[in-house]
Amino acid sequence: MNPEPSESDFARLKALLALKRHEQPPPGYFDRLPGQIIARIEREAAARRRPWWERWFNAPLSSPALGWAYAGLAVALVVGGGVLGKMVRANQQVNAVKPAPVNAPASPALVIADTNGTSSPPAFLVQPGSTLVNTQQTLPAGFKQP
Amino acid sequence: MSAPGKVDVPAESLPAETATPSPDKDADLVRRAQGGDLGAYDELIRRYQERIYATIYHMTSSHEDANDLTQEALVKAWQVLGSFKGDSSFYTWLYRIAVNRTLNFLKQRGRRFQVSLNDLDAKVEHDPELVSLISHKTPRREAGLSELQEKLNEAMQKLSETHRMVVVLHDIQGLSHEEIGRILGCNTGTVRSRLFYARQQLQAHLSDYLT
Repeated sequence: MNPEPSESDFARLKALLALKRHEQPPPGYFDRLPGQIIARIEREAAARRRPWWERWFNAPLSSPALGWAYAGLAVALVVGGGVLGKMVRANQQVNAVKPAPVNAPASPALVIADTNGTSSPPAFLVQPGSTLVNTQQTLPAGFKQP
Repeated sequence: MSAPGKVDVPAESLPAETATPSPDKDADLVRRAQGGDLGAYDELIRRYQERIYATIYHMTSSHEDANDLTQEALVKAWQVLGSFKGDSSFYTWLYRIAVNRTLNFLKQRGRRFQVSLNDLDAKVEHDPELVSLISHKTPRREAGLSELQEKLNEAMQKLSETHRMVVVLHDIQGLSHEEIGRILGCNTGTVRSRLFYARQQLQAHLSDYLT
């Protein structure tokens, strides 16, 4: 049962709370604290004047959490690079075993490569009126009279 | 004589550092610090470091946390000193930074129970109020200072952060309801009701030592 606290009860409570005022930090703490704060302010001001890449590289030294974040990023990059490399190699292997397209020439012998490396059909196939047999060089069939 | 419904801490029982510093001297130091004078800021730190540290320490019950948060608050105050327009006193403004930082820290830390067991200073044995309290006829009159300290800290940690803050600022630091209202951004009625509720809670937790 908690009866309504009276003023005298609060007075005693406040006297007890006064005990907290006697809790002190280690001796000399308040002599050192201003110097530590000023040094920290100067350190942070100097850090802000450094170029961004230098701050980026030095950040893990001042913050362990940031160090772990950088380490995690490095691991993710290595693992990601490995996975990407594997995917590229697998893709190359798939391309290597792929069958030739249907409209490709039936025989490589019919594809004549010119000096530029481009292929073109044989001249007799594209010249109009050309035939497989040179008629000018063909003698008419006949019997020689002795 | 205390007004009804209000118990004032006797001025002589407050620690020396809780005496309100002169705002005029502060204004000059603040102006110089705003101009980049670190020497002036060093002087401001020396004026308020004990009060800021004590407030944070009584909230966190840890010297290490209080040290970190005091440094962070005072570095942050330097960084945003340009935004101080003098609408409130410098120490109210500084307290506000420290208090907000501490409350955010406590929210992140959660309700991890932590009891401060720092050594008491030598003056405690001569504190008349405490001597009277311990020698008073109570069911636990044999309780020593360290036991009282432990029980008090346990009871304080059972309060919510906002209620504990009001007790720390008023009953330990000796700030007025109005000053606390300005620091916490609430009206004096809220401060008074929080203080009353917090005292009731402490009263219940410490009944063996107070009745």
